[in-house]
Amino acid sequence: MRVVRKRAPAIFLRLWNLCLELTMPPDSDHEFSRQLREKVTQHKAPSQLRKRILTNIEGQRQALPAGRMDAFLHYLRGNWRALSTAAVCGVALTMVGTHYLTVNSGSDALAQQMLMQQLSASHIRAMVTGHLIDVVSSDQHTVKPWFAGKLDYSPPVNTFVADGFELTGGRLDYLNDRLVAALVYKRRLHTIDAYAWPANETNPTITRHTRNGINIVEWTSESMRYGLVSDIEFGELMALAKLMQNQRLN
Amino acid sequence: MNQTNPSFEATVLPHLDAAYNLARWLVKDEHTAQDMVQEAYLRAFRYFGSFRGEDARPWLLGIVRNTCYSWLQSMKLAGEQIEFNDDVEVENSVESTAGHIENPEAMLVRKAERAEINVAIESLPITFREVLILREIEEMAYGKIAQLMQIPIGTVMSRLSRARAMLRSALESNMRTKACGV
Repeated sequence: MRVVRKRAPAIFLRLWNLCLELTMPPDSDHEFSRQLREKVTQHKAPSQLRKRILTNIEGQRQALPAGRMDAFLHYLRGNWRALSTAAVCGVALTMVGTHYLTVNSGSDALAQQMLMQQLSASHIRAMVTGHLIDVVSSDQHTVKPWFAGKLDYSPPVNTFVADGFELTGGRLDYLNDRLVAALVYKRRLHTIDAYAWPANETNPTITRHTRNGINIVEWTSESMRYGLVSDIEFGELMALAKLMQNQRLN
Repeated sequence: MNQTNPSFEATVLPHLDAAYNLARWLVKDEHTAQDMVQEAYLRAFRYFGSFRGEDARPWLLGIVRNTCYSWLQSMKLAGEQIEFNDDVEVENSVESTAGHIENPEAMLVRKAERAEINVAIESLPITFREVLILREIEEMAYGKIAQLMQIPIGTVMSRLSRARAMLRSALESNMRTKACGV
């Protein structure tokens, strides 16, 4: 009954709209429309926008073989049971995997696993609660001093507006049993959390991880460990990582 | 690639100007509008498998509109949406102005400066602004606008006539101020 009631208006609306349109007299206010159309600015898409869109689309195509992706999505869309089965399998595998790691592997792998979990959890928690930013500023010279009284180290703070990563602020967060700095960058509509905290080891190789659809890249350079966490693609996270690796040299 | 369906580029890219124009009028900033359109195209690409219509324009503009609304909401700017009642009939509707050689709105628009009109439209509440842009600039049929905004066609028409009435009163008060000032 509820299904019918929910569906009926949509179909009815379409039919009703169709009837109305067919029986409606044409817009009689031609003069107004004509005058308005002549005067109102019609914004044209800048040419670089087209280029960027084409690049984005190309990136999407490369990320997953076209056709196969479509077919897969199609399959999932038409098949909620498959989707939920996949989700259950995913959860089960993660649980088994976590268990396996806990039992069998060394403490390093476990620590790494825990860290990735904390990074993605921290990012999601901040997004969900809306507590993304304690200090709102696109000015690195405002954000950096803000951390000074709150942390026992000074995280590097830079903005990369020219490269499309805009610093929007920072917040304090808690990872690995310590307070850490989280810088917040905007990339189009997406939020990237950039965590930085002191580390003893050095490992400049950027490694990738994915947890619950959240992408993470992390590395260590100059006694500082970094983790970038976002829902944007790896390619874009890597680009920011490269920029941040070079920033310390400046 | 999908051999049976026309490509994404051929179907959706021709509507780039319309997408940008709508985004630009909704968010009122060229850089944000570009971000919105980029994001909308990425979404459109992802959902393209589910697109079955013959006309990609309302479909794409619907995605652009949703993207802009989510952004406005996240920026808390959506607060600019004022309370309004779609059921209120506006006497100055389409029919009542028919038959005249030149109606008051048309005359006002003709006399107004280009910038003045742009500003007047920008200051319309978003609900009325978008209908006006889609109808008057993009020249979309009422039915397509209704489909895009997922509202009844009658609502599209009443919003449009209210948008015109609001634009008219904005231009009229402009004109009065000018007359007093000189």
